Amino acid sequence: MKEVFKIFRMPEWFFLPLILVLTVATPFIPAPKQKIAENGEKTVVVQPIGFRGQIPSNIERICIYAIMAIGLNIVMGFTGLLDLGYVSFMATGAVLTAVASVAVADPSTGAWLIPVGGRSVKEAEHLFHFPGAYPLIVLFCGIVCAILGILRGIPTMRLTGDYYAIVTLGLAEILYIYYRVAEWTGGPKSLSCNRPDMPTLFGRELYYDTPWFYYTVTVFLLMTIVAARHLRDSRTGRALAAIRLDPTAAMSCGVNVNHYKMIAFAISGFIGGVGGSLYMVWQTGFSAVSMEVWESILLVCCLVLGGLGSIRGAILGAIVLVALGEVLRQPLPKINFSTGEIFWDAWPQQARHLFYGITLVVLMRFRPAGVLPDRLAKEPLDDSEVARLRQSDTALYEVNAAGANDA
Amino acid sequence: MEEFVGHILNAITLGAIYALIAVGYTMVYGIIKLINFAHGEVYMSGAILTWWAIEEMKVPLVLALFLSMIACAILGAAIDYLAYRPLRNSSRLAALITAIGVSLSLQTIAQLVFGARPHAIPEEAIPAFFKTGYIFYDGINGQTPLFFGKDLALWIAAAFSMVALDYLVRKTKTGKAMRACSMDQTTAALMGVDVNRVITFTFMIGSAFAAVAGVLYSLKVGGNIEPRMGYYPGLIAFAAAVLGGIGNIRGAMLGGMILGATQALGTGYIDSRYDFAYAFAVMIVAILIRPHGLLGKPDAKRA
Repeated sequence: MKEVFKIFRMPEWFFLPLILVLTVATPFIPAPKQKIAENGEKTVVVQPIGFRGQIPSNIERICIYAIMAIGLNIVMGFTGLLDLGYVSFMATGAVLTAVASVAVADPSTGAWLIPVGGRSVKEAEHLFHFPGAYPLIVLFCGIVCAILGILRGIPTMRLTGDYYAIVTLGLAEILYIYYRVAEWTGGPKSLSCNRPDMPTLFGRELYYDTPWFYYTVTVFLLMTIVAARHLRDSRTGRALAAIRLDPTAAMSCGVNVNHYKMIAFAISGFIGGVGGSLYMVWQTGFSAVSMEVWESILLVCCLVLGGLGSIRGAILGAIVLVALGEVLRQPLPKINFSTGEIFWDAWPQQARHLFYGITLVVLMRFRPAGVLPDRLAKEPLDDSEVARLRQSDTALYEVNAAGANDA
Repeated sequence: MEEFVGHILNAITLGAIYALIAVGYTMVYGIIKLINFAHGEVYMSGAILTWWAIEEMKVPLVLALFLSMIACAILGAAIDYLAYRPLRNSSRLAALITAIGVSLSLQTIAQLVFGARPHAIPEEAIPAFFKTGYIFYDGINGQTPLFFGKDLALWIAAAFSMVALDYLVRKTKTGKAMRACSMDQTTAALMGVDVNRVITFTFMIGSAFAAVAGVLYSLKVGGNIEPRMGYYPGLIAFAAAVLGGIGNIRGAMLGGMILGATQALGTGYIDSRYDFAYAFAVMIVAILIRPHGLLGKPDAKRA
């Protein structure tokens, strides 16, 4: 039995090639052929695999959520600030990409237009459709979101704990309401990007069912993982860990708390913008109404499930939560409350929110460090424990007293 | 002029509802230093249970309100017992995440049980007095009443609840125990106060108030009883509690009134599409400029 469990403790290099090969190969697994019924009509076959299948599409979605979860992890896991407004970066990245994709030059006036709400422009050219435009758009989204993160960080600099959480939530709500009202974002209607509207990458189509987009997303996830690991193990990462454990102590050790917090906000915002941009391509459109604050709670749930501060944990959280949404599409037992009868039917999509909520409650109660906690990160001290350490006659206190006697 | 008076009366109505929710937030925060995110969901449960009792059980409105107050008080105590009590000594972040989880779970349960579409309390259950208008003036659509009987009932109910709560906290022995716990739980326990019982009682009182607010709000707008109705009012009530000085009950009432006025006047005169954004903006400015609130005492450790 022990040997069975041992495999789960294998070093990552054992699993990494396996996962990589599987990920690279997935789009090449052929899709099952569509059956043609006797009367000539095509029967609808759910395609699990293949370029247009469900599995590659879900891997893309998992990767996008993992990118954003890692971005949130930098503020929430590394620095220890509960950010409930991360969806702002996602929405900003998505809306900027959508606008850049559909923006056209109007030949009659020469001005730019964003065709919103039925305004169509004939014989117009897309402004940002040149080879290699998409990396530029992603970079732009990232930089705008990094600036947004810094701007958001200036007023919230002094806040910690509950007040930081609630101010980020309030700012995200205001931005959400703004995007829902403003005209250039499509407002309550959505900004949809059809296939010809999508930006290209090195002359290849970026669309949710193309393998090229699939590889783009996985490469972005890899880059994010590498960047986050380097950040965690760098001088900045150690400074952030010090801030998480005790800002006052960090300050007294010469860590410039505000400076490092700003770096964390900017990096986290950058990754959020990149994730939002990819999310828009995956969704093939931007809908301001769907960018609710619950999206950021979902990301918080990813992190809590995997373990705050753990990069592997963030990816695990994204896999579990996205997969769960898929499981809930299948028929599951359901109770009719007026008759008490049990029948099989697909649960409403909201049912997964129940799972998210219960996950948060149960994990905080029984396993606050998450399922895959980071080996380096110890659990932060409780308030009561900090108070006990401060009050007790610790070794440090005695040394100081002895030193005073010597002098 | 009449339009302005109409907005002011609307502000008072909204403010009374926010104040009723905010007292629950502020009492809980005062004692266990936890933002009880699930409070908005208790408010929603109050409205939905009242609707259900009237629609399915055919009980009169007042009895339904009373029953849902009791149910919500039990719900509040149960949330505390199941979710928050095990975390009393763990970090504040863990408790906050738990609160978000409870809120999400309750909202989804309501959605799965009662459906996502909005309900309204049936017309025949509402007394005729609620629908009569008072003080007519010439509006855009002809003769418009300045306020309705339901507004009057709402103001009376809110004022009565506030005065009763203030009396409870300031003059009774239980209130003294609550104040003692919010100052220092350890010392209060040493003086013979059963801290856990006080916390349960606080949750029950706050939840009953939230239930009243939920029912009054759904009577006021004539419907909109749905699982997600608690989210925004809950957040804004928290903002009201912060604005007035968190832990301070009179402050919560004042904060509720100010935010109600901000929202009513903002939607009336600036742009009605940004309805909740005004209250959020006021909350953020309040936290940044005066984290201890209008009536609270400065505390170096907070914020």
